[in-house]
Amino acid sequence: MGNMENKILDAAKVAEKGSESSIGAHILHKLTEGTEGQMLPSNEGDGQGIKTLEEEPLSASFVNQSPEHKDSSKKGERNHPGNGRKADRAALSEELVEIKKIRSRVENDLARFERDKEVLTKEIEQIKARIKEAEDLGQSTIAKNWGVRLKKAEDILQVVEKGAPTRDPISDEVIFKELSAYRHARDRQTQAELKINRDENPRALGDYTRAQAEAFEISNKIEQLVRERSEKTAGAHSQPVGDEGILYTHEQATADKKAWELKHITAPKIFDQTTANDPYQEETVPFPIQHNEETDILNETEPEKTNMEPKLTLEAVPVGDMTPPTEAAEQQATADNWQDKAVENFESNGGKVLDDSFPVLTEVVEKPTNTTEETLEAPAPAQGTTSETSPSEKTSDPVLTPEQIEAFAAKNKETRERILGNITRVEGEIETRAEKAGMSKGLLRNVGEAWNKFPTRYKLLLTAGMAVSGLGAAALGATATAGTIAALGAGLRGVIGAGMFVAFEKLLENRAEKGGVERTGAEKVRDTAIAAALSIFMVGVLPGILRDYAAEHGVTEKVVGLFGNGTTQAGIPLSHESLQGNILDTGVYIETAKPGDSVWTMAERQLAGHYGEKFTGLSPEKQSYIIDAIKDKVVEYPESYGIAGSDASALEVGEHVDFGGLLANEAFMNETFSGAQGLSGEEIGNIANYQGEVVETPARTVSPSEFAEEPFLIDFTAPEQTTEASDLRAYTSPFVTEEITPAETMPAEFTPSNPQVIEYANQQVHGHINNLFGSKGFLGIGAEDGVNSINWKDPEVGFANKTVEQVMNAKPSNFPEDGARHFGIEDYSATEKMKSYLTLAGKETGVMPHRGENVQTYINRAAAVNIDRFMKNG
Amino acid sequence: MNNQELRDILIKELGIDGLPEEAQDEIVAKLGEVILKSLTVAIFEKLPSDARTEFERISAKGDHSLIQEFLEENVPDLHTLMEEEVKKVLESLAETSQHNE
Repeated sequence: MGNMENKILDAAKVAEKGSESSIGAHILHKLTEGTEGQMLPSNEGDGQGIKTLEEEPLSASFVNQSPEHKDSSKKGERNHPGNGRKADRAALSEELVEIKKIRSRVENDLARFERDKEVLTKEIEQIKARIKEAEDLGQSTIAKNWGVRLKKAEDILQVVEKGAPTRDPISDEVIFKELSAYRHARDRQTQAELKINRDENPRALGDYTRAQAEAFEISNKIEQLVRERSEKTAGAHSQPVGDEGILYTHEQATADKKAWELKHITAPKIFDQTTANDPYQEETVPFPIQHNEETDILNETEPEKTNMEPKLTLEAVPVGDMTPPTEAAEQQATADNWQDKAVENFESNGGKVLDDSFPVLTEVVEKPTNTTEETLEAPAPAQGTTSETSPSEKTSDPVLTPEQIEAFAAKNKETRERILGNITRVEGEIETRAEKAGMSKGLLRNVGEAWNKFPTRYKLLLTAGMAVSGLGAAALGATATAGTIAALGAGLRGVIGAGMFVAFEKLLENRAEKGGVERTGAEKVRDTAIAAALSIFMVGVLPGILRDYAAEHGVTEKVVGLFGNGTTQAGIPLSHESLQGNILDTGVYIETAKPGDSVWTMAERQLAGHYGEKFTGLSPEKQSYIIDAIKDKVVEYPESYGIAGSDASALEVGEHVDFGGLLANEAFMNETFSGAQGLSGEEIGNIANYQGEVVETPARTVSPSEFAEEPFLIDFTAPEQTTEASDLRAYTSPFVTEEITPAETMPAEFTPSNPQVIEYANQQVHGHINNLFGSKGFLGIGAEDGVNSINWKDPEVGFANKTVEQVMNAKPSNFPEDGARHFGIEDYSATEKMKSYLTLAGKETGVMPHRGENVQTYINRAAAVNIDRFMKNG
Repeated sequence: MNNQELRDILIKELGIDGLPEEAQDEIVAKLGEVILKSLTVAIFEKLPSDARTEFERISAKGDHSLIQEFLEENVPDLHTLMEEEVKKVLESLAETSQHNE
């Protein structure tokens, strides 16, 4: 008998003394009866020295006792060293066998786990060594591959560890016991309350109080046990206490504890209704039970409600539900596992775990519903929208895939084409309507052509003005600022043509004033839009009307040169374009910034172009004075002149500056020129001294979006359209595109080669003047020869008696202040015609007027020279 | 109210605020042309037949003041005409859009 066996025997002897029915006595009996000298069976298996019982059942050792022992046992039944009770040897054997079986299984599992863990640990160490080796050698790919294997090995080890019985089962059992005790205490509390309310039993109050205190104490104990377990587990979350899915922070648990504290005189009054007991009834169970259908093995019942119905009795306490869970459930219901599960559920419902891995929930985690799936979906890729249902996506902008972008672009294109197509259909309806009204399609086409000549930004401006006017004041607002009016009219004036536009503007203004009603801002905007529209209408319609009229009344469309000899002279077509040139000054006041340009240089260019000698003939100081006056206006209201960004000192290349509001402003320009002429010597000296300090603002590169900035003029009065030039050589007529080439200077006295040249010339001039100022009347009635018209003949205003210089420098107002009809050089229209004629004469003949030569003398001379040249050369 | 606000009012009224700016400009410009043509036709419709001849004569002279006076006499209510034509165009556009959708 070995040492081990001797010890067991001694123990059995001691045990025998204590109890006759003790196991020790039975074991002693087994060991001593017929087993002396025999070795206890040893289990051998798995190389651990532990044999399975199957190899040598223990009972066999007893069964195989020698006959002497068996006989002695039978004989000595009364003599066995027990308590006198006969031992059921078979049962004990079986019992022992079972015990040993369980022990063996546990030991085997433990051994296997240890073995597996050892193998995995060794493997992980080897992999780590390989990784380090590869990293030292710079073999990143190899290291990466080993890293993958390492991850797998660690995962397996983690699984093994999880499955291994490493936890102290006693802890779980203790918790379960405590939980059971807690439920019992709560139940006693409830029963006591029932008694209080039903029987008015004063003793029940004591029971209630004691049960409440006990439950509170047990809950604390449970909390402590859970906390201890959490601390043992690696990476455990800090101290949360779950409550059927409601996870409180430790602070919250503390607060909850305080709510549990027995307050002084907190027991409900005996005769109070149930409502007073609500706080006690609505307590939640501070037990870390994961209330989740997937893992809810413990199946805790919900806290009792305040219905006071005796639903629960002692017998109904779900003790059965408190049975220790299976091994799998036990693993799931561990501290860390249900925390993980709670976090998972929390996040799936859109919650956010704090950075310290401290889940904080304020709502009961319910079974994931459809909303969970919705919040997990990617946000809808709607253009310009973001999802608001997914908190995790709130900070991220929706990212459009190339396919989505392409789809949007295609959709936009489709929308654009559809709308344009609809507009075209409406246009077709208008053309049908025009046809019914007796209008020729050509007229509408002309209107369209006139419209399309404008820059897009002006078209947008006018359309907005027209549409808003049509939409009514509600759309525009009851009041519109002056800026809006200016915005509508400013650039358009320079584009459409000041004369026409302002004339219509004035027309509408006068009409309103006649009515004695002051226009609102919206009405002013409307009228401005109307004026602009009418101007374009006239521009578009008028040439067509003129053409039709000319054709109808026998006037040839193409006039063969003013002084034409019928051969090589190019005709001056009375065409749409030529007439339009007279009516429509497209962009004459608009300067485009070139590299190095500034408002100063651009203004200077404009002044030289529009005023010619009147400006360039001034001294540099006086020129500076005028330029500076214009510059100051532009700088003060840059947007009014089309400058983007309201910074006139930061022009960009390609940027447009519209000087029309200033240069076309007669009053302003007259005042400015007068001011320049009236400068004192001292002032001129100051300007001269300041000349060197003029800072040029170089133009910078402009972006397309900034380029599209609308002009925004404020000042606009009756502008003047002047295209004067004292030197015809430099004069650029709207009729001609190229500069007039310098012509040979004619002697004052011309001696024609043929005496009839002068007669021919006079007849030619007569015809020209008749065309300009004559009137055919109605069926001949009222006809007047042009040379007899006031425009030509009148001694005061007639062109015949004016010098060429006077005519070219004349700037009659398009809308005289006296409102009377004017003629000749005092009439804007007549003067424009004369200027054009004189310009053409110089171009066609190459003959320049002498200084101080009057119009009639000049044009006669030019015609004579031209005819004489033809006659000489053939 | 500035230019952009004025434009935005129209864009919103047309319901094309979702389109790119270039497409918006193109549509607005085309709409302006159509409105202008509609206004032209309306003016002509207002003119009596004999007045049309006189209008042509006056227009041939190119005397703007005469043209203005003529229009003032024969087309007295330009404001209403403008509003009517704009509304007419926008309504036609809306009907056409609905018909084609």
